[in-house]
Amino acid sequence: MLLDAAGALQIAGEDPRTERVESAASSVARNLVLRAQAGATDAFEQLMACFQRQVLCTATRILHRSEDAKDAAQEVFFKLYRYLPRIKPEAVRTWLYRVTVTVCSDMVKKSSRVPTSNLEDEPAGDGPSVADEQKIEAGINLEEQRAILQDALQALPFKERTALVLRDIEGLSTEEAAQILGSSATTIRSQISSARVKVRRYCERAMERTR
Amino acid sequence: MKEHIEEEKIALLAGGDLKAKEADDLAGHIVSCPACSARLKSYQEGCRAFASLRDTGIGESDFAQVRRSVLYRLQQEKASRSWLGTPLRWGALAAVIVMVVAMGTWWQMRMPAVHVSSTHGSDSGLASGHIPKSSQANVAQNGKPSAQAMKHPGIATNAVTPLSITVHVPQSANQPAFAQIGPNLTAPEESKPVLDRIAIKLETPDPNVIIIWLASPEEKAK
Repeated sequence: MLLDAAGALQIAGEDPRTERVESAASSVARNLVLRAQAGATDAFEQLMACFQRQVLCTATRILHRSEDAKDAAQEVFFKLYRYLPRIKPEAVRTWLYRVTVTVCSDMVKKSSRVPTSNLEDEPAGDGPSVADEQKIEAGINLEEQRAILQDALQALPFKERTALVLRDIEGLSTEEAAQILGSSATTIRSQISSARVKVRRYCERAMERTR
Repeated sequence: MKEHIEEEKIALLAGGDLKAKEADDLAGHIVSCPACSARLKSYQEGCRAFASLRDTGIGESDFAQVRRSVLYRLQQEKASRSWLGTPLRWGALAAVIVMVVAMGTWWQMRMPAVHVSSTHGSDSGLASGHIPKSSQANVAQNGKPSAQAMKHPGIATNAVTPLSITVHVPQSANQPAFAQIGPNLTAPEESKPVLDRIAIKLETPDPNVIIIWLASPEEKAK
């Protein structure tokens, strides 16, 4: 149902993250939560289909490994089923983001496979010139650029990575990210700016290596 | 503004995370400074590249796999919860427990009444008799129940020193009698039990508690 509502608007040429699409999606999600809470067996499946992108994409960006992200997504939906009676229908999206981050955080703590930050103590440097950057950008393709970005993301400290994923990849506002992460907007801004600087430096170095 | 803009501020400006006034203040410098302008452009491209990462590398098969796994896990959990899963069944279990406890309580309350009512004969006809040792063992000693008495709930679990002990020695089948032998537990010499069993009646300080002991010939022989 949500897919129908959001899909129709997207087919009409609207960006999936526009206010109109999100409003329609929110309304449908609210109805699905209410139906699932009332015991409709198909409503939970539709609810999963509705939020699978949000949960799996967020987990993938935070954890990087596809299998870990799928495990995290399963855990998130399992928790959704378990805590469904207590969830406010209008807050299900935020609740799912928060649980996704919590589950990913637990997995990072338990697993030694997810690398810790190696961007903590990077020297500031002046960075390459404009001409250098143009050469660098011309020299690598989109796939390589995305791979480098993903690696840079993984090298960030967990909190900065999570803030950046929610803000820049999921497109949430700073205030929404702050609410989900349980921090102040000021803290989130600080984490985001620090993360962007580190990622840019990481990308610069990576691109230099590829030349 | 002659100095270049701090890296962190440009990073925030690129993502639209600065307040409007602060962004306006920086805008003038950006226009006049090619280096800062280039850095801003680089950060903006970085933000766009990040946004494009959203769905990268995730396909419908991944979503389907997650959905299937969740539903399978939920089914397994439901199955493992067995019949105790629903509130109704928990209620039924609670009802059964309450019934069992109530029956146990009722049975314990009923036990002394059974012993009192099981006596036969009356206080009217007195006869002599002796107290079997096994019966004496059930009598409270120093106000505490004996080990044997503890095995018979309802008889002497709360035993006290009896006020009197009456031994019932039926002399004939149609005229039973009790012999009052007092608290010293000594049987009268003329005790002549003729029938196959005797009854010992203990009166306690509690008027509601009367203990009747029925002794069989085997016990008498002991």
